[in-house]
Amino acid sequence: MSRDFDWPEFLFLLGALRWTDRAVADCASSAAASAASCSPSRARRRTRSCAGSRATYIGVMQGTPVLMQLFLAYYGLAVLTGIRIDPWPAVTLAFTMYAAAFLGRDLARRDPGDPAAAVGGGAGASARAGRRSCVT
Amino acid sequence: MSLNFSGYATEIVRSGIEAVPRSQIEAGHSLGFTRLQIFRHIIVFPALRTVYPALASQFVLLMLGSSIVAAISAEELTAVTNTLQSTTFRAFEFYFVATGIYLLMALGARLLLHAIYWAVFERGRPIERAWSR
Repeated sequence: MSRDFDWPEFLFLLGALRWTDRAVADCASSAAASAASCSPSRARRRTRSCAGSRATYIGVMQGTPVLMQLFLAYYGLAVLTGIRIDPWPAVTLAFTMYAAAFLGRDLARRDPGDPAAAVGGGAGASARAGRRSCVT
Repeated sequence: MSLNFSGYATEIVRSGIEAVPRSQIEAGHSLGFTRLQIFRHIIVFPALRTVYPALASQFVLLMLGSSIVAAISAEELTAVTNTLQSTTFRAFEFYFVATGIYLLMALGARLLLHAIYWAVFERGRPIERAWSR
C-alpha cells in the first residue's frame, strides 16, 4: 500500500533540505574552490608544461559530466588508494574540482577579455574577446 | 532538455544582439539597407559570431547534461553503465571508461563546433578573420 502525499511527507522533504544546505555550504562557499581555482589560472603564467597541464585539467573537467566525476571521486578513490571515504567528502572533493575548472578558466583568460570583464564589459564583450582562447 | 537549453541560448543570443553597436545599424540605414538586410547582415550575423563560443559551450554542456536522463529510466550511456556496474560491482572501472567516452565525445563536439565556426564565419572572409584576431 502506498502513502499519500500529505503534510508529514512535505515536512520530510523540508527536513531533507538540511543535507542539501550542507552540500551547498560544503562546496559553493568553500574557500577551497577559489583557492584551487587559483592554481590552474596561475599555471599559465609559469612554464609551458604548467599551462599544458592547466589546459588538460580544465578540458577533462569540462569535458565530462559532473555525475561521472562524482562517481569517480567516490568509487575511484576507494579502488586506487584503498581508502574508502564517506559520500560527503567525496561530494566536496568532486564539486570543488569541478568548480575550480570553471573558475580557473575564467580567471585565466589570456586576451582582452580580461580588461573587458574587469570594467564590466558584459557577456557580449567578454565572449567576443574570449573567442579564441575558448573554442567552445 | 530543449526547454532548458532554449532558456540559456535565448539569453546568450540576446546578449550578442545587444552587443551590436547602435551606430552600425544607423550606418546600415544611411547606406540604404532594407530592414531585412540590416537585420540579417548587421544584427544577426555579427551577433551570432560574437556569442558563438558561449553557444558552443552550451551545446557541449547539453551533451554532458544528457547523463541525467537516466533518472527517468531513459537508456543511454550513464544508464547502461549504472546497470552494468550494479550487476558486476566493478563501479570504478565502468565509470572510468564511461567518463573516457564522454570526454571523447566532448572533444569531438568541440572540434566539430570549431570547424563550423571556421566554415561559417571565417572561410572566404579575410577581413572579418583579421578583425576577429
